[in-house]
Amino acid sequence: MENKNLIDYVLEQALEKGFDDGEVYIARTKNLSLKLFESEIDTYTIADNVGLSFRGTINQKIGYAYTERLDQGSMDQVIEHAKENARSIDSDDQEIILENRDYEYKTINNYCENLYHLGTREKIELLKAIEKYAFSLDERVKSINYNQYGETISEIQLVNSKGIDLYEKSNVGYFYISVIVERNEDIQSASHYFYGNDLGDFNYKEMTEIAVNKALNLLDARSIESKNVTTLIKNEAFASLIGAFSSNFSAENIQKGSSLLQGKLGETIASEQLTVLDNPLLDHQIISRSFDGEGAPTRCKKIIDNGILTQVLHNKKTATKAGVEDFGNAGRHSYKSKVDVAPSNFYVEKGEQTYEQLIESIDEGIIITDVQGLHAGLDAISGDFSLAAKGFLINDGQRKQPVNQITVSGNFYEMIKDIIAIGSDLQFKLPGGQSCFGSPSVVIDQLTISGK
Amino acid sequence: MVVDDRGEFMITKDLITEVLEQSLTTGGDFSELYIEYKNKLTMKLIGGAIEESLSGTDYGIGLRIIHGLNSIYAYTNKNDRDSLLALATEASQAITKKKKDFQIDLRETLVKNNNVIEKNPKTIDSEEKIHLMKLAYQEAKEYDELISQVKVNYMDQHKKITIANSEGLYKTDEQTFTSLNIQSIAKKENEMQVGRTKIAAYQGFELYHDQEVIEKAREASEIAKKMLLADPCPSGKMPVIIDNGFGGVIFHEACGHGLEATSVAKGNSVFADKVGQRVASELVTAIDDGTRSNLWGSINVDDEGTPPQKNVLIEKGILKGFMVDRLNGKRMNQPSTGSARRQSYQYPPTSRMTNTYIAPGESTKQEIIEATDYGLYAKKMGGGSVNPATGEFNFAVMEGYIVKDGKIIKPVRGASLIGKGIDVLKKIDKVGNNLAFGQGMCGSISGSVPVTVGQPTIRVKEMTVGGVK
Repeated sequence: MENKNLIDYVLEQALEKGFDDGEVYIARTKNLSLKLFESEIDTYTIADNVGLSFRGTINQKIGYAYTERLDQGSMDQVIEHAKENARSIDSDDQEIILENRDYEYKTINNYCENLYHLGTREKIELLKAIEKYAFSLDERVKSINYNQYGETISEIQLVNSKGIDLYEKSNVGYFYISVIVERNEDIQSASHYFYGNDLGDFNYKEMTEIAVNKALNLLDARSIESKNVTTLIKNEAFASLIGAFSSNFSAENIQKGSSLLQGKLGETIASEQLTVLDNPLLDHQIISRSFDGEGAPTRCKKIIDNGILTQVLHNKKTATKAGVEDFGNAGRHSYKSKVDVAPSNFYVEKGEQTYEQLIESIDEGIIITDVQGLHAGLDAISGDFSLAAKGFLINDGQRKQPVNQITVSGNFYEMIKDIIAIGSDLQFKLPGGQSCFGSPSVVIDQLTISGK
Repeated sequence: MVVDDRGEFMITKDLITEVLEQSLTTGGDFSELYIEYKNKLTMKLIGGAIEESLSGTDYGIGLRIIHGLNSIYAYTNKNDRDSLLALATEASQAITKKKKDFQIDLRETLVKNNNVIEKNPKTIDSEEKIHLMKLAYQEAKEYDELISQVKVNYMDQHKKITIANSEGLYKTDEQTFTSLNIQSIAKKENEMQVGRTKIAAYQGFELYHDQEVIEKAREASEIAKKMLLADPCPSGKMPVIIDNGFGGVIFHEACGHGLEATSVAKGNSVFADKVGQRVASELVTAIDDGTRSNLWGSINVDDEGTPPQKNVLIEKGILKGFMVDRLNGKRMNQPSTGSARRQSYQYPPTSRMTNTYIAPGESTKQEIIEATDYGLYAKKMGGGSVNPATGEFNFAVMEGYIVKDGKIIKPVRGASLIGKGIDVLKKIDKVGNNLAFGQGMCGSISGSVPVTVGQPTIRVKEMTVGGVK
């Protein structure tokens, strides 16, 4: 069944079977991925994947069902299952299928033909060139862990029984390299990547050099004595931290009592140096979008403004509950998930000083360049974190020896109050799902480093 | 043969044969089809009420073609003849060699069912599932007035797979999983702490008993409350006693991933060249065993159609072998150990863990604590991660206690423990006799798969504990 017919059929049937309102969400992706190992394409993957999600309300209770089988019989099943699911709900929450109030949507162009100016053969040649170049850079480069390219085209269609009818097409490609270096039995690894949909922006030598240099800089890294110390968290590492704690800014978590930000709107929660934005309309960001997971138009908002919590992220349901007008952060991870709240491009606004100036301003301290184990070593609800880390010592305003086999620990809510300087080197991480986190390098007054 | 809920055959044997043949017309050595049909239900409760109920059907076909040591993988949701043949044709274009001579004759062989399911969750009324969730909520919420919120998540899934390959292998299997996750939040002023417990197995609804649900609910709240009132964890190097059950995550991260052919085959593991050598203390015997009945990580057959086996990885500290799948096995010149796994039809399989554990030793837990002058007793662990190339790993303590002069003296909050694989394994100086297993999800290049980690209570002479000063 073709998409339009499918959607019409499902919405008609849903209303006939007793739903008050319904929504169909169809997502289709095509993927290509190439992995190179020792000059040969070791894995070559092509994929075509489509899924449909239906959700519907009966007396303001909502039921969800999805399927990867798009025949009529499966559509009937989906409606039946969604109805059973709606019956299981006994929460008092009023679930809402968004009504189209003549919304205006900004135009975001997330599809670029330049991704295909290089054919598959040429992309393979590029991977071979990257491999050759990595080994040529330094004799300590021992092997290449991962050398790969991937691209995705994605199409989303969102139609509901209240006038929302939206479509979006986007594409993105990425190169990723991870190298292993060795000297005298000391083994280190590091990676770097490129992602975007205009391959004209891609410089393979630059990406490879960054990965190799990061790895080489870690050779002879040592652990250090445990202590509390002024910590400069590098941009990407801080972006990871912001991302890991971003769930606390979701109105859904706040309303459900699993965020410490409950009741804190308008209060100072961080150093006045800190401003954090959520902007779904940023240029050149792959996950930028004109409509959110329930079809509402998106807009930029300041979450933290010079240390004060000014806004939290809402979808239509949470906004209605809170009695506010602004929403546009409905999250939908995939056709297999429910609609909740999610950040889009969520980032710390950049400051004045360069990364080098930040280092110079620190007498004795540590730079943290990498953090690991975020899925386990931190708890978004308590704010506590204790993460494996790597970096460099700072002495007399200079970057000194590399450090690894340490942890950096603290509490997120205390840490953001202790920010003493913010750099100008804003960098975004690889997007994960529907969110992309970014930050410049940030200096924290004191964090605990554990080592020897 | 995989049949859906309406009794329709997913794909006939003849069509499978045609697709496998079409994939090899450009000179590939081997082709394999993986057909998956899965039904899943998730329900979430928060604040005493069911907030979310979501069900779905996953369906897809993954095609793998191997030529030499390289592979091509393609997948789709479309199961009609034209789409499948087009998939095979497109995938095979990546090879440009001469077609080899072969004949594909699919012969079904039965898969031994190690994992008996008594009550298929699909036949259980949602009222019963809701009863369990609400029981857990009540017990957790009423445990103490400091408990401010409780979330309970329920899941059940039923998966049917067909695996067929150009060597004539044809097998089908059915897998049923269910889990109940309880998260309890304790709150005072500006602080919150969380306690988490779960019940999960490759089993049907018979897994759940009210009594165990009540215990786990109360335990989640007990942890949350204790941690709220606990001091921060200390910082620095010290002996660490890791309790049994999910404590086995230390082995999973420190060593497990490094013993998967996935890293070993390409020399990207610190264990790659160490078979026959000492890689751990002689108290350590470590095993990966997918044949144990009804454990969360168990399998009847691996995702290439090879039966699972009990793989002794380390014996009294000596490295004996690895977990191997077919393709990496080719690179290593070793046979498959029945360890090939994948999250779904969207991933080519590779060697992964199933139920991985340190075998029980002689000491009792009491003896281990009494023998410790000062250290950390890690009672509950969170997850962790590792870089197999360098051996550096980390994992998190969720509930900890300080041990002093052979006694547990006070609770402390969580922290990460870090180390390097072989180094830590050699520092295990006590192994208890109380083996238990914990359940988790393990992520790697073939996606997220259910695994158990297990061990008795053990002591590591020295580890870096990432607390606060």
